[in-house]
Amino acid sequence: MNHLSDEILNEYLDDVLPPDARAEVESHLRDCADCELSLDQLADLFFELSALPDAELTRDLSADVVRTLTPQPLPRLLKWMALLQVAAALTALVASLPLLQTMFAMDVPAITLPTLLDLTLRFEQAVVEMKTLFTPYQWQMPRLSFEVSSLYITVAVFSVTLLWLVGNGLLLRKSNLIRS
Amino acid sequence: MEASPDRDLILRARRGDPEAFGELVRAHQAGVFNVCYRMMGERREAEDMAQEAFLRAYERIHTFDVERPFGPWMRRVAANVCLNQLAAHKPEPAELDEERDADPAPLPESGREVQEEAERVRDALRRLLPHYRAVIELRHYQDLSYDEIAAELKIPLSNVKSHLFRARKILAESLSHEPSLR
Ligand SMILES: [Zn+2]
Repeated sequence: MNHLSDEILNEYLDDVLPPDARAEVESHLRDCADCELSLDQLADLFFELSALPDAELTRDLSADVVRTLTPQPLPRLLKWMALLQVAAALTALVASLPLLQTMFAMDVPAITLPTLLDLTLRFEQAVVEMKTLFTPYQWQMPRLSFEVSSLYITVAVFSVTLLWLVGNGLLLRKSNLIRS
Repeated sequence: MEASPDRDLILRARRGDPEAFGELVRAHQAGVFNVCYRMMGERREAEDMAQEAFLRAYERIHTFDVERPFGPWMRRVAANVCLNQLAAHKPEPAELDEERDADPAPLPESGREVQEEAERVRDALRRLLPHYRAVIELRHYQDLSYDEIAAELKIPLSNVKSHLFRARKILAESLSHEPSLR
């Protein structure tokens, strides 16, 4: 008769064998001292593992965890820097307002669909031009086929300012500066 | 199943209340620390890993089903955090021996035997490969089934069995080589 395999003994103690296999194991164990000994040794290990007492935790971990999870207020210098930047941004915004006004008063069609199409065309032209300029041996700065006017600069400054204000506002809110 | 007694705390933690989560930490830190102690084999490191496990759990708290008990989930997270740590950088065995520390409170004579026996088991666990240690932890200390261990460690069922049986064999050998207390 074959002895019980290690695997079967493990599965028997883990109680995962189907009833018929379990009955077979038990009937073998009644007749086989060797397998019974192996089973006892394995059972001893199970007992030894379960008898391991819990160790005592000697310090409270919660304070550190809570501190890590609580958003820290910004350091003082950073706080002042941030306020300074907000002031600068607001100034820039106010300064760009007259330019913006002029732009909208004079160039309302500047943001209509044909203008956008025109811009796209110009961009494509610029890309084509860049391609012809670019050779494997020589690099030249690509020239744009349209002039950079004060209008473009105004729009750029204005949108960057807006982006900056929104972005930093969100950042500051997250870091609790605004709340505190 | 009865709703978790930690339900309200978990819901508050989910809404971003660190203090509520702190209460959960206080309630479960002893169990989580012991998972980490068995896995890491060293007190100081176990405390760090327990803390790390709680932080990881906080990040994932929205994935936790509030109707289930928090403790078992938290201990599984801890076992995984420790396994990842052990797999990332295996410490030198010598290093472990050096840092090993006895339990701080000296026990009365009657407790000495228990403590020595515990130290023997911890030593044997420490000598196991991280993956073997993890299956022993999940099966013997967290009562997970083979299937649950496979899901938890993301390994095939056949590996769960082979790791578990192999780990037990190694443990039995290293425990029987040392003087028994019986
Ligand atoms: Zn037999």
